Amino acid sequence: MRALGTFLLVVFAALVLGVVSAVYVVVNVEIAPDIRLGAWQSSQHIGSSEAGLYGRAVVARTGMLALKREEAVYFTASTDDAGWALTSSCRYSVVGADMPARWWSVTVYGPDYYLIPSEANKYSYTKTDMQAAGQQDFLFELARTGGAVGQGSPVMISGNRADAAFSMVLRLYHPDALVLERPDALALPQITNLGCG
Amino acid sequence: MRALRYIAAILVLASGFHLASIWLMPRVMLAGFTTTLQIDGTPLNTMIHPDRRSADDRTIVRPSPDMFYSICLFDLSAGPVRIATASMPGTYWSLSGFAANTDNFFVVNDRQAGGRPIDILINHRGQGRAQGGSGADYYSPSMRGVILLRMLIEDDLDMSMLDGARHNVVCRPAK
Repeated sequence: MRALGTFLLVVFAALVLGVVSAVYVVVNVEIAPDIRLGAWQSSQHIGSSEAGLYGRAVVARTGMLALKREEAVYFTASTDDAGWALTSSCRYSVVGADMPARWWSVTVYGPDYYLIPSEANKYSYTKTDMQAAGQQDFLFELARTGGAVGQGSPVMISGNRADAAFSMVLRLYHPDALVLERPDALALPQITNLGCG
Repeated sequence: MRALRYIAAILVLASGFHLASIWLMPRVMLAGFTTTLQIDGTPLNTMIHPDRRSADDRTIVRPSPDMFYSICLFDLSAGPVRIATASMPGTYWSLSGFAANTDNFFVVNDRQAGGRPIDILINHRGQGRAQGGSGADYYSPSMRGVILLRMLIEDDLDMSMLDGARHNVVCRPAK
C-alpha cells in the first residue's frame, strides 16, 4: 500500500513538473526563431510539417493558422532595435522601405496577442498606405497619444493601458525569391524609442 | 540513495509528460478554437463568413485586420469535402487547409487560380490510401481541421464587393 502511494506521488510530481515546464516554455518563448534581423525574428518552419514540437506549439499560441513561408513570411518584434521590450509607456518611430513581397503589413497587438482598440480603427500600416502616400519608404509612429511624426496614417496604441507590453507582426505575402533564399539579407523596418513617460 | 532514485524517476517521467504536453498543445488550441465556433453555432463542412477582424474580436490570436477571413470546420469522417469558388476578385486571396496539429497542408491562391473558379476535393490521407490514393486534390493528415479563406482588403471602398465574392465560396460534403 505504501509502495503504491509512493508510486502515485512520483507520477503526480512528474506530471506537474512536466506540464508546468511545458506551459512555461510555450508561454515565455516568443517564437522559435532561426532568423533574427534587428528587433525582428522569424522561423522558416512556421506552418510547415517540418516545424518541431516546440515551434509548432509556440506558433499555435502566438499566431495559429499561419501560412507556409512560400505563401507568407511572418516576422515578429516585441522589442525596439535597442533590445528593450515594447511598452505603451513609450513612443516609437517605425521606419522602413518597400519590402520585396507582393503585399506587406505591419500590425500591432496587445499583450494578449489581440488587436488593440484604436480611436481610428487603424491597427496596421501597409504597403497600400505607403503607396497612397506616393512613397517608396515610410515612417509611422506608435504612441498612446499625439499625432503622427511621418506621412500616412499613424498606427496608434491608444486603447492600450499604460505600461502594457505590445508586439508587432510584419507579414510579407507572396514574398520574392530573395526573402526565401536570403532572409538574412532583408532590410526590415527600424524601431526606435522616441521617449517614455 | 532511495531519494535519488525517486528524483531520477520523477525527472525521467517529467520529461515524458513535458514532451507529451508540448505535442498536445497545438491540437488542444485548435480544438478549443473549433469547439468555440461550434458552440457559437458554426456547422461542420460549411463556410462561414465572420466580420472583418477588430479589437472586439477574441476568436483567434493575431488576426490580420486587413483581411476578410472565411472559415470552414471540416470533418472528413463521412467522406471528402469539396471547396469551390465562383468568380473571385483580383486582389490577393488564398484558401488554406490546416490539420488538427495546425500544420498548413495546402494553399491555393489567386495567382494559381489564374482568374478561374476553383473546385477542389479534400480527403483524409488514410481514406485516400484505402481508395487507391486518387480522386482528391489534397489529403489531410487528420480527420478534422480548418479551411481558411483569406481575402485582402486593399481599399475599404471594396469591402462590399469582396464580401459578396467570399459569400460565393462553398465548403460542403462531396457526396
